[in-house]
Amino acid sequence: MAAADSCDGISTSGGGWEKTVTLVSSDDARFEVREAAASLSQTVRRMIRAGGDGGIPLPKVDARTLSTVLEYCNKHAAVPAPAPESSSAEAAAVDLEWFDKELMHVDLATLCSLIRAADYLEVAGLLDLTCKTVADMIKSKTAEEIRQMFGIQNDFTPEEEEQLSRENAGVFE
Amino acid sequence: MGDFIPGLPEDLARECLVRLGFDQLPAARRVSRGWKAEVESPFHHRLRRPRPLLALAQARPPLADSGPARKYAAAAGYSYRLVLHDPGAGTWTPLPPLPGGGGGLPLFCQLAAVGEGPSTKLVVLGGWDPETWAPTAAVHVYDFLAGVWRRGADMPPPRRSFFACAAVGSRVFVAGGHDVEKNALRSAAAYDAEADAWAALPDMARERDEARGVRAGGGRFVALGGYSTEGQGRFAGSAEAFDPSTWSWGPVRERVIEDGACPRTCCAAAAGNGMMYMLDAGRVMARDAEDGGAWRTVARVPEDGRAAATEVAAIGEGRVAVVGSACHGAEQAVYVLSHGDATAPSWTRAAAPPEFTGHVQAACCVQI
Repeated sequence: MAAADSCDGISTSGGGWEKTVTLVSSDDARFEVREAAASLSQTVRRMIRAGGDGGIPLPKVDARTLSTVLEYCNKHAAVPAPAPESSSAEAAAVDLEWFDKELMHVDLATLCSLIRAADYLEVAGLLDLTCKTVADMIKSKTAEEIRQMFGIQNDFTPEEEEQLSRENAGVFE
Repeated sequence: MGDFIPGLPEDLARECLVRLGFDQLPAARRVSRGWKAEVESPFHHRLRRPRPLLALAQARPPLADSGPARKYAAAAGYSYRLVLHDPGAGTWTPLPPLPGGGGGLPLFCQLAAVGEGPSTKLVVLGGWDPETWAPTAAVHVYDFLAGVWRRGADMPPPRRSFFACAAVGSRVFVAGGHDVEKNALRSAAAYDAEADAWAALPDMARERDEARGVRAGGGRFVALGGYSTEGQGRFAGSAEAFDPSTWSWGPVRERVIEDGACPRTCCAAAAGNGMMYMLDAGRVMARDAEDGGAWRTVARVPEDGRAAATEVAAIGEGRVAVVGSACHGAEQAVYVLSHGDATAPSWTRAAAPPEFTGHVQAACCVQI
């Protein structure tokens, strides 16, 4: 494959030269994916090893979520192992960071679906990215704003609220 | 119950909450009972990836506009604030100002972090009042969960300046320094941050002005170097270690560092195994063994930080933070050295926005 690359300059971005696998979402959409990308999912990697044909069924992930997960996998699998401190490695890292940021421009419900999918598919990098995104959404928010954002009930008693206020006022008990 | 985040199973919601920054904890624990219990549980803090932060007593940026006011401010000296730098995430976060007064940190105050996980507290001790330059006995404790400063019990007399200070276990130890008449001190005391109470220690064998406090193996506190009243400025290389389990000082050990060397850049490795680092002529040195250990060179400080490298703090996993600049009075930068048995030492220079390049007068590592 490397030889083909160097002699006629055909890009591999279409994946034509690579081995692919077919993933099937819960709503029966079929995705043909490069094996290298699909293997970022430990769950899929195990199923590839187990063999079988007719595609790999992923009954816990719908098509919409799976397509985003695969977008992530395709991008991240395309990045060669970085030679540290080279300027191209740095540029690739910046590009990847930008890509990740863009990918996370989704609403909370979608983000939660992605977290569940990343967990089920065992895509460690995506799980970290999505969970970090949720954590970042909480940044500089008050407790009330956090409750509203996630739809959480305030279940503190008035006494507990008062105790928390006292603590926040900086008084030693 | 257990619905930290509606739409996510508990274990995945937890994955999100363990990624909160330290400055998000105060709001997070007020969201609901579930969030409070989660954020405060030691289990939560074990799940959190070890994230050492560097606490810096750093000069505030000078006022943006020039003119007489700025000149006056410069003449009156710097105003210092506490800044937390996360070397992993590359973030810089100022803590709220100290309550009362102008909110600036005392000059030459000491920093120590005690406790672990949810109960980690950052303690600011002593120093000189930024306005009057009078030595202060004040103790301020930052509570990371509540996100507030609390005034702690004052340091017991005498009023000491330039003392050795280090956190060991749940206590902060202070020793030596000098009193208001510039007499070098042998006395020492320990602060229990949970109980907010001080206890006197037996006197050290030697007077130690400008000594350095270092956490040593076996839960001991070491007062390192310093000089006697007669020996003004002639630093001794000796050290003595206090063992809280016997509440007594061990014998004086000579030449732990070179006689004549100022111990202020000495610090203990984060692992608490008795290993120490210090700067010497632009190099980071390390000393492995407790007894009779020799100092060896680990790495040279990068050239642009070498001339005025002032503070050193070990931040764990073979990493050492050095604060330095190209010359005295220049912008300061934080350099992090990574070294290990298998890898060659390497440096990274933390990129800092201009407002976080002020002079650093004290630093310590905080594990939250």
